[in-house]
Amino acid sequence: MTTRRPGLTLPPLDDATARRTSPDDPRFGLAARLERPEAVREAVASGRVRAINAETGAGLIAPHATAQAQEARPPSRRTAPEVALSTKVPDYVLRQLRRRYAESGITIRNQVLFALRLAGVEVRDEDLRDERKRQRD
Amino acid sequence: MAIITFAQVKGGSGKTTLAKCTVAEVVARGGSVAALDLDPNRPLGRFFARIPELAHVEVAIPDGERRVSMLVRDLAARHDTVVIDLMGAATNDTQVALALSDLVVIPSQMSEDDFRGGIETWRQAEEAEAVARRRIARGVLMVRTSAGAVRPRVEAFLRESYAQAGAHVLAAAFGERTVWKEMNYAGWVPPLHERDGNAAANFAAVFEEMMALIAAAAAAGPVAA
Repeated sequence: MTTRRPGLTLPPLDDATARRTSPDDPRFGLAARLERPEAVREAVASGRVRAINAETGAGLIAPHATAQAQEARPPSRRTAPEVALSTKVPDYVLRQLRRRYAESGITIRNQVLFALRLAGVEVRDEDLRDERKRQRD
Repeated sequence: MAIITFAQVKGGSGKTTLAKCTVAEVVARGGSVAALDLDPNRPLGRFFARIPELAHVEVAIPDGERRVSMLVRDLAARHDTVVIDLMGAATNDTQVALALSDLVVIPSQMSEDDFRGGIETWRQAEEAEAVARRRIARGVLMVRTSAGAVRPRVEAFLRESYAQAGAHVLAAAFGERTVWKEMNYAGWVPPLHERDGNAAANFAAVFEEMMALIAAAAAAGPVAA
């Protein structure tokens, strides 16, 4: 007499593993706390987090870093508010100014101000400081 | 049933394949399952959309408004099982997902990088358990192992190394099989379409052990303060 092997049946999912997780479960509160910027920063500092998912962590780090940089930056020593000045110059003049900036690091703004001071326009020393270097001073 | 996270801070270890198979296994068993895809390449939704039996599976993705914790809370309220597939790096999502999990599965191939990543992920899961003050079942799953009867020396070595580092390794392993690679192209998912085949049996063994880990953690009681 031949016996046929019985068909395969799936074991049922038992009750112990069939419960849904309540929205009030404390794990969700903990996870939300771990998503806060200060928690992410702490995790980055400790090395637990080495990459930020741009989709879930955008804005967590950069705004704080910017705020920190602003806090660490010493106050400006300028003697007067800065206003914008726009003018047109021959392109070869601008090319020279750019080249001098590349060679000396003196900004185009400061090259212009130095030249104006030499021409007799009042430009105070404090207003010739390169404010972009304040963080490294 | 549970919130199950596939985590490994080293990429390319098999997290997504295991997440696909887990979702397919739960569907095959008649369970209600959803997924959270934290891989920016979005492999899960694309895969499920091509498989008729899985096309209904909800796949959540985060954005600026909907954080991981919010998404998982919502999914877990409506589904018995939530599967989380993480990016292969130590990201800000990793610690959040671990803290949400009932089970963390850490896939590990045979490379040293996988081993190092596996240990780091294990440590993070331990930390998550300590912070959460509740049991988080976890296990390292050896993947891309030889499907033959002979276990290579390196697999035994790594199992021993994980054990020495205090990490539990599942007895079952996820074997190297062509069918897992073809799954995406053929739309043929062994846990759904070939349950009496060797590949499906292999994953069913992995799945049963995953469920046993969850049950054991639930039975173990609360974590000591």
